Amino acid sequence: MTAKRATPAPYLLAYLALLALAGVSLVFARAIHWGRWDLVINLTVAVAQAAIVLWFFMHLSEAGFQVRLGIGVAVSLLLTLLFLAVADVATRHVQPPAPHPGPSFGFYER
Amino acid sequence: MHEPALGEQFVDLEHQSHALRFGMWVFLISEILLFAGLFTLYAAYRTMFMSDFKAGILHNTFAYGTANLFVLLTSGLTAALAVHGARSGRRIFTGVMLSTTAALGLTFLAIKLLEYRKHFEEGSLPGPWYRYHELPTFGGNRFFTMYWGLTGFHALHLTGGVVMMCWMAVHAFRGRYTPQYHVKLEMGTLYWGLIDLMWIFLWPILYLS
Amino acid sequence: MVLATPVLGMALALVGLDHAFRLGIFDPAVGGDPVLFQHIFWFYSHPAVYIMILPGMGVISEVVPTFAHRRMSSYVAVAVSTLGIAFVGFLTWGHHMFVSGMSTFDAGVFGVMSMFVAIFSAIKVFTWTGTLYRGQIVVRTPLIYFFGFLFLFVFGGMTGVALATQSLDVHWTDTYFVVAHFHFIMVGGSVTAFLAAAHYWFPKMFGRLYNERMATLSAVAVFMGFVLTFFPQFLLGNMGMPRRYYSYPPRFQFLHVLSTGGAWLLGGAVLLALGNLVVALRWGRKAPPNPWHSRGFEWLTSSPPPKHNFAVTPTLDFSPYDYALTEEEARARAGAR
Repeated sequence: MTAKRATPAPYLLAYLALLALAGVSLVFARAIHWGRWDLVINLTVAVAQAAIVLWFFMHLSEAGFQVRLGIGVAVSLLLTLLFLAVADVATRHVQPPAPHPGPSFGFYER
Repeated sequence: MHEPALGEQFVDLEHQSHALRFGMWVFLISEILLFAGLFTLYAAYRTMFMSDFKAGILHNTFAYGTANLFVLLTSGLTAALAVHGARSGRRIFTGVMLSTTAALGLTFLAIKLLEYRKHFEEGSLPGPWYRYHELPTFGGNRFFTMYWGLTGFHALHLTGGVVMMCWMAVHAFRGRYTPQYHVKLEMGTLYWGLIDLMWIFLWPILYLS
Repeated sequence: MVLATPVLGMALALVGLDHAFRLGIFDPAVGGDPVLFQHIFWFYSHPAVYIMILPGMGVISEVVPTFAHRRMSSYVAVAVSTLGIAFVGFLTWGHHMFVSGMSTFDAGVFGVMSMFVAIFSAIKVFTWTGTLYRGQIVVRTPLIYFFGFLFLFVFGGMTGVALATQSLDVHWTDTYFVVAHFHFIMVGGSVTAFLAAAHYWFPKMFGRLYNERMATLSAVAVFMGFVLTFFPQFLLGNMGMPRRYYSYPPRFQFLHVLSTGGAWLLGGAVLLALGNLVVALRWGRKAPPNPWHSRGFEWLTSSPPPKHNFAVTPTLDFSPYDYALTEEEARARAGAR
């Protein structure tokens, strides 16, 4: 299943797209600030960059259905773990949300 | 010219290539889940110590991290071009591209070491060695501990990737990768792509405010 | 397994680093949170138990059609349920953490998900039972193990759904009730299925037949021993007997004695079953290619199979488990010798 590419053009175009997306993130890091949307935008840029790297550099365009399904499952599990752990921390009814730092239980001072 | 060996359990080279490629993807998927625990910890602690994490990012070494992003993105391009070279049968070009990728990986590590040295001087170290005066809070400690953990595991994987790239460069110069059978080269560049992917996500969460 | 084990690897690596270098990743004294360790740990460890039961279920899916001489009543249902258990099983890990200090929002999510995954197991149980209906049932040792499996797995599964309710789990957590539940699934489920597999494929693997009477006797003894060991533990746990305690009030004594006696019976029965197989290795009668008259493809070759399994690669133009064909027709169609 080795598709013969006549030119390396797709790789170069993908690279330029990656640079451009990084530029967008840099703008939001240094110049414009939209508060809490900054993180959302930066992560969206990261997802787009990841998609480009996967599709072009890692040849996901040539890979079969099983590979794409596997990646989808892995990412959805990662997001599940992350979401539920963050939800746990965020919805505990403690103010402030962090556990109170107290005197160490002495484990490390042996 | 080197003849690729066909394993006894495979019908033909095409079958073997498919199996190797799929097996590599399974490994990459397991690596995604390996980092999942670290990303989860980061997200949970960020939720707990939101202002401290944001302060930590502002105090982080932005220039080094961003330089490393561009180094890795470029190395992803050179790795992909190496595969292109193998598919077109250009042995020297493939070897040069793989060597460049390895060199860019070493550049990443060099910048990382300089960055770690800066953290040493500042005192933004993980765990009990934390003595960063600009951010003397538990949240700051958590941020930098997660920073060191995330970038440390990433750097370990990248070091392995550099070694592998050097190995493959030697093989490429010897003409091991033909247009008909170069699946091991593809597998190596897949791993490199994963390292690239990791940094693409580490950069915004550790350096961008 | 591929998806879950790396998460465990990371959890253990982080704890190791924590202890070796006092990083305090999970240490509350420096702002860490041990509940996060539990999240990452159980994210692996719950799918791990599904890793342990799914192969057993696969064995049952082979054994039941063979001894009912009928194809599975719905192969698609079993296949889809396997995928369902595998995926939804990843979403349920928090039911090990109901009393850890986790938020009640998460507890609700995990409770619902844990009940949801039981639906898939139930679909499988009904499919297997439906396969027996109107079959030409021949009762041999593997099928006896299946009957044990059916009863014990259903009991274990139902108590699992009960444990998935946070309010009930607060009473039962860390008691013998939980111990009984997972042993019903692990031993009553997985180990029973393993013994069924051992007795089902033994002739194929080693080319010998074992003593059917001894095997049947040991199967029944395993079942009796198991029930005697672990059913009292449900009662003990409900009465409040905690896990990992070696001393207890005198009113628990009787049930403990029952459980211990059952354990001896169970151990002896398993040794008997395995010993019977070991004896058959040396002194068993030679096994024909298809002692159970199954239509599974592995039974088309000799016992034991040659290297690469078939002397001549068979052509298989009939579907698996096609019990409408007679055995001769199946062998002829496969071109098997």
